[in-house]
Amino acid sequence: MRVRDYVLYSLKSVRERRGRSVGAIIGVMIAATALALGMGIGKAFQEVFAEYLGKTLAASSIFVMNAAGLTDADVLIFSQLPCVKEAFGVAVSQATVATARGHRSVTIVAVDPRHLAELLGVADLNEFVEEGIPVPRGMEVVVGANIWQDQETGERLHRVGEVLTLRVGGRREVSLLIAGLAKPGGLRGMGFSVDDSIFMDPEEFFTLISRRRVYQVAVVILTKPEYATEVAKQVRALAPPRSRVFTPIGMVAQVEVFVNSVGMLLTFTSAVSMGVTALWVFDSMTISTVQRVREIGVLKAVGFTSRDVLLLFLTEALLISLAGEAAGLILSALLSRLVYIPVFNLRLKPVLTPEILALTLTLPVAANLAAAAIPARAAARLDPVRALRYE
Amino acid sequence: MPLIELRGVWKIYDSGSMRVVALRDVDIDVEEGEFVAVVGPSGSGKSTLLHIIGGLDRPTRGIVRVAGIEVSSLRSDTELCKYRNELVGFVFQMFYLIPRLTALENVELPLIARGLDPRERRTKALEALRLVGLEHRAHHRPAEMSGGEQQRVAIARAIVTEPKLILADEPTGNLDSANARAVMDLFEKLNKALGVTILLATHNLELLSYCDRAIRLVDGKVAGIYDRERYDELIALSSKRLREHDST
Ligand SMILES: Nc1ncnc2c1ncn2[C@@H]1O[C@H](COP(=O)(O)OP(=O)(O)O)[C@@H](O)[C@H]1O
Ligand SMILES: [Mg+2]
Repeated sequence: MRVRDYVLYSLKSVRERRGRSVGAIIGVMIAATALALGMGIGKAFQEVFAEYLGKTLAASSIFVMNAAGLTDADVLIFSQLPCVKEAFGVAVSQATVATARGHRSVTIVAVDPRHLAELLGVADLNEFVEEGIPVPRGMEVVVGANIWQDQETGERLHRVGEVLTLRVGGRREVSLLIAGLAKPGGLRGMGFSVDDSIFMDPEEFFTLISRRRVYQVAVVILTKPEYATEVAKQVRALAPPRSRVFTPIGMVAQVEVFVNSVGMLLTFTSAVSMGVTALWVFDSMTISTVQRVREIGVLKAVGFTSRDVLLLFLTEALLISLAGEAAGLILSALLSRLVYIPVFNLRLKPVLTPEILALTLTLPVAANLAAAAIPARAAARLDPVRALRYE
Repeated sequence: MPLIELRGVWKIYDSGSMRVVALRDVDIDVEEGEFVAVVGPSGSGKSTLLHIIGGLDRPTRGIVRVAGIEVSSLRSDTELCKYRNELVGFVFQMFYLIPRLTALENVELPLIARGLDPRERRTKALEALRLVGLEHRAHHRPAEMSGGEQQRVAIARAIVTEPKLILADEPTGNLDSANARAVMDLFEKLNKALGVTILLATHNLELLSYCDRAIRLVDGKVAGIYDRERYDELIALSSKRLREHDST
């Protein structure tokens, strides 16, 4: 028998049992989609956070946040804890900039230029700017990408050397000089978006923007990431009341738990769907072999071998599986673009790697072929005389 | 050398508790080109005989030789399938067409098994349908055809491989007399014009007029072989049997 004939003959039978076939196709589609997305979201998480943790100070740091403010003394205490390499304060303030479309809010971030690279997670500050000088000094500031260029059109709104006027605390206006334009960045720093920030010298910040010399955030950098939990405990004890202390590594671990549960839920959905579909295939094939006893007898009488009959039934399961796979892969590709888990200022979208696609393609097909194998073998072994006997 | 040669053929169904002897030491010779009837009451072993000759079933004992092939010693599925496909065409009482396939597709089946290329297959199948006078029904499904037409499609399916032998098991059992005659006329044509050997199992003695010889089976044993001159004797015998049956 020719391969083409197995396919054509099986296709006719699949089409005859349209209702059952569609049910199985939908089952495979769900199984494939859930499997692809479940594995894809896990993969996305790994990729994004491996990169994130590798690139920034996050892995080996502790953040302390306090709305009332942390003093230089607090920061000094943190820096003297064991296993701490250094600690520094970051002062943050909200402001607005006038644009053609009205006022847009920005975050002023004041950090000692010596620690800026660490805060941003870059090895060399020159990587940080697209143009100009990366180091804020005096009135000179570095502005984030969403401020110097139009977010939608990419049109340039400000240049190096221009004066940028901010409105602080409602009515007060402050003019600063643009020294550098930050590169549009992905995930850098914690608790603020680089693209919406203006980086400023703390000395100037404490004269122009805020009179109180306090920091909203303190960053404690450890000698090794392994100490994070232990040191965080001590920092929590020493920090002023109502401080929030967190380790990025701990947060990532929490997110990981969440992402993993989403991934597991999807994988579980896929497994259930695969199981149900396989049972469905098994059931409908079994019914089919019983209903088609005469047909199998005739096929054998005209010269179809047992192997031909086996392959005909397996091809049916294969065709149904492949149709479901095709639908599932299209759906996964669509959903992987549309669906995401928001994490910090990131959108975690499922990543469909070749390995994931390969598994998605093979697992449901294999399950259905295994399920179909039992009735298919029964059909192949059917005694033609029994099948054709008419009483 | 006869086309079909059976020597000491036994078929015993042994299902543990029950032992049924379906064929008992059967010796038969059928020459190439003969049209032979196998007659006998229901349960006398006619179907079993046809199945064994056609390679669908194996004798418990004895030798079956067809066209020089020792069918009774073919062991592998592939060999048996090849034998059935190339040398034998089956026609059954219930037609056994596949309902979702058109007449043409049903006729093509043996050629699909053979792996013939689609164009050649189609040509041959159409030719077979023309031979049974149903070319115009090629694209109809069995449900859209009368019983007589369905049986003629089944005959087309049996002859599409140009077999040496047709094994027809009660082919008119499900047809009215007009359709039965059409089917028998067709067998006669195939036998006379193409020289196909036909073995026809039936309990309808009216069909004897089409056949060169009749083999009578009783309880799995060959109870007699009758040529045209002795058909009366055979008919008298079975009507006597029927009377005995009625009186008991
Ligand atoms: N698979 C089987 N198991 C047991 N007995 C069988 C089987 N097939 C046929 N028989 C018996 O063998 C005998 C011959 O049957 P069969 O060849 O069908 O006769 P016929 O076609 O002349 O009516 C019958 O008694 C029947 O019951
Ligand atoms: Mg019978």
